[in-house]
Order: sequence, then structure tokens, then C-alpha cells
Amino acid sequence: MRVDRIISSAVFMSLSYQKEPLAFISDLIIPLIIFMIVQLGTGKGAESLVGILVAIAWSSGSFALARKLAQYRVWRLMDMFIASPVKPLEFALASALAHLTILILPATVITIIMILLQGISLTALASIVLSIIISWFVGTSFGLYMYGRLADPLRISSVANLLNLLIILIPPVLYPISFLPSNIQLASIIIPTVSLKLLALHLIGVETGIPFYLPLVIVIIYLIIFMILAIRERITIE
Amino acid sequence: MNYILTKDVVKIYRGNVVALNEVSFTIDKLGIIGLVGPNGAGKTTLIKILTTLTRPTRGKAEVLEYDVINDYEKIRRRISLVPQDASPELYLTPYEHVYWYLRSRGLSRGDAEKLTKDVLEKLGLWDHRNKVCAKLSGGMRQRVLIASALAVPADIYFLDEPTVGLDPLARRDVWNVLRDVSRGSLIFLTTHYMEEAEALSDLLIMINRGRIIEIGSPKELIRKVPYKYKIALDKKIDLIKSSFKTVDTEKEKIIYVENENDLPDLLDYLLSQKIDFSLKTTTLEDLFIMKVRESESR
Repeated sequence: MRVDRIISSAVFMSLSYQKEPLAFISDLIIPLIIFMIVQLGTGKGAESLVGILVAIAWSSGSFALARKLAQYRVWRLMDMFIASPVKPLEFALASALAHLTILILPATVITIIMILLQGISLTALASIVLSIIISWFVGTSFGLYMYGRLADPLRISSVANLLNLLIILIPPVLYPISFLPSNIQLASIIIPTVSLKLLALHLIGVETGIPFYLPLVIVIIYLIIFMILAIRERITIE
Repeated sequence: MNYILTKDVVKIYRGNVVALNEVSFTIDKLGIIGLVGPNGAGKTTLIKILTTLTRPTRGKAEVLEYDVINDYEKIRRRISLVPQDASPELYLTPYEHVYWYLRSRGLSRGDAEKLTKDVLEKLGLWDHRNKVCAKLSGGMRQRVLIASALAVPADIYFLDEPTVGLDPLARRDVWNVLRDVSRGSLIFLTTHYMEEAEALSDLLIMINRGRIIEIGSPKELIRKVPYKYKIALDKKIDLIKSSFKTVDTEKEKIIYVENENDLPDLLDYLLSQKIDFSLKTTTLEDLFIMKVRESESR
């Protein structure tokens, strides 16, 4: 495995995003509206912002990555990369890395809003970065699995839209979990994005009313499952 | 050295679709190898096997004396590919596309810069190097892909129908670059254009329904055409008495004439019947059509 090949392939894949650096703004409109409603209504806007960070990290690791890989397959660019010294694992890492870079700008914007809103210590800032990376990593494992199963960009888009609704918009990711009745709160932890958000909140020291170990265990279980599935669906030579 | 060797290669896809059927040939000289065949003949499958993108169901295939299944990583290091119907990354410029593709293959910054400039100049893309591919014509986008593949210092270049969609002038530019590249490497290209295969290839492989139907240099193959002349006329015209070999193509009926002594009578007859026709000498395309028809009638 060669780092220079991974980085160069990642640059190849991420340049198109860099050409439209403000494209993320349209993706942030709905989450930011939810944040404003939550902030004005309850003053718990910081929790929404953490949810937005988890959501964008998860989405860029999963949906955007799976769509891009499927696009490269349809465009046959993937054949050019596979029939070259770039190993399938290097290509998968490069594509994941490319999608980590595209979330830097929106994550920075959200973090700045968070700092302006309530001020953040250096430790909390480091915890936010760690939470983003964990969310991206779990999302990436899911994205690689999703690409392996679906492979077609249209199918991936339709499944991603549905999943976006089911695991980001409906569950308590963008709004506080305390909005839900207590029994549903516990049930919602099964959703990976909710667990990731709760874990992130714990890491930056926000009290959630849910024990720390619960989201931690669930995130670890999802990570293991998605990684196994992704490895099984790996980009093979055929 | 055997640059490419296949022995009884069979490829069967799901649903029992036989894409290749006991394909055997050896390439032991550098140059340009043309693989021609109708749609669905097995050209792309053969390229995919040789570029290690798919495995043969049976038989042996070697590239640069490495087995395509066991030594695929060694092969991938030394080949370059333009896939069929490929598209470049639309929001990259031609320069970025070629440069970063080279870097991703492990080339140094200096080498990548030099090779990118060289290939873009040769393929007439230098003046467009800073426009994103989305703003280029279809032909130029195709040239960006060809440039990305040909800029790579490789031992074998596989090009699957690389000139589809190019205008005649652009096609000539690509031919010139291919001839240039083939001096020190092997180029294995598939094409629909017999004129292109004839003009470029040092060795031609004709394939139909997964089987090789003819192989040889263009000079050798042209000698195998059993007729000197051909008369093309409207497909609907039915000649009442014809002892000549006729072949129906999609557009026209072709009458083959072996020697010129037979021509006057036939031409007189066509003129007397006021039938529009054209008289030409036979080419490799005629051998190809005959061989395809022969293989299909078996």
C-alpha cells in the first residue's frame, strides 16, 4: 500500500467538489432551520448543531461516497483505476479520504456557529473533531457496503433519500432527544446516527440523560457490522 | 517474449451466455494489434480478461508472461487502459485529469507534469487544458481519456474502441499518437472501423460470436480476399441470374467478382437494367464480412 497513490487518487476524486466549495450551503439549509427553531424554542441549539455535524459526517461518508463510487463505475473510470497499480483497497481508502475532505468546510461553519453560540473549550473542540471522524468512519463503512450491494447510482440515490429521511430527519438527530417520550428515547438509540450524536454530546460534556456506555456500545456494534459487510462487498477484481 | 498469450480462453457469463469460446493467440512482437468484430463479438470481454478486470471461466491468459488470475497485480503495474464508453471526471480540466491520474499511479510530480504536457500537446488538448471537461465536446472528452491512458509509461496499452465519437481529423491525431507510442510498446485496440484497423494494425484479429475467425497482418489478410472487385447496389434488387457470390449487408447487396474478364458482361447487364451501382476493389472489410457470414452460417 502506498500513501502517495492514495492521496493522489483522493485529490482526483475530490477536485470536483472543490470546484463548487459553496455547494454544501443548500444541504445545510434545512438542518440550520431546524437548529434555529430548536434554539429559539428551547435554547438547546447546541445539541442540534452537534446533530448536524454527525449528519454531514455520516452522509459524506456513506451516501455521497456510495454515489461517487457508483458514478465512477458507470463512467468506467473505476476500470481505469483498477487496471492500474492502484490497489482496490487503496482506491477505497482514497475515495473515503476524498469524502472526508469535502466535509471540512461545512463542519467548520457549524463549529464556528457553535463557538459563537456558547463558546467551546479546546478539549471540547478536540472532542467535536473526534466525533466527526467517528461518524465519518462508521458512515464510510456503511457507504462501501451500500456501494457493493447496489452499485447503480440511481438506486443508490433513491435508497439514500429514503435512508436520509429515516436515519437523519425523522429521528432525534437534528433536534434534542428530550423532545421524545422516554421509552421512545431509548428505542431511538438503536439508530446509528442517534447513537453517534449522543456519543458526541457525551464527548463534549453535554448531559443527555442516557448513560454513556449505551451509545458507545451501539456505535461499536454498528462499526463492526458495517466493516464486516464492507469487507465482504469489497471492490474485487471482478 | 510473449507479450500476450491466450490458450483456449472461455468466458461464460451468468445465464450461460458464452462471450468467448476457446480463444487462442500469441502476440510476440511490439506494435499495434487490432481486434475487430461486430457488436457482441467478445472484444470487450477479451480486453477485460487481459486487463484483469474479469476472470476467464476456463483456459489460460497471460500478459507480459504473467497469469491474469494469479499475477494480476504485476500486470496492472505495467498496463494502461481506455475502457469502452468511458467518461472523464466532468468537473476536472484535461490537465488535472491527466496529471492526477498519473500521480495516482505513483508517478513523481516532475514526471507527471512533463508527460501531461506532452500528451495534451500531441492530442490537441493543450489549448483547452484549463476548461472543465463538462464544457468540452464529446470528442474532446474522449481525447482526455485517451490522453490519460497514453500518458502513462506502460508496456501495453489497451484501448477499447478509443476513437468512437471522434471526427475524422481528431481520429487522425489519435492515430499519429498511437503510431508514435507503438514504437516502444504494444497497443491492443478494438475498433468498429475496418479502415482504422487496416491503417493502424501490424496484426489484425477478427472475432465473431466469441471465436477468432481470422488472424494475420493486413497484408496477409488482404491476400485472402478471394475476389478482386465488388459491385455494390441497392439491397432490394434481385438479380435473376447470378453466378457471382453475393452478400447482403445492412445497407446494400454486394456482388463479388473474381477477375476482370467477368466485369464487362455484368456491368452491361446492370447498365441495361438501369440499376444504380458502384464498382470498387475489395478491401479487408470484405474479408471481414465474408468471414462473419461464414461463421454465422455454421
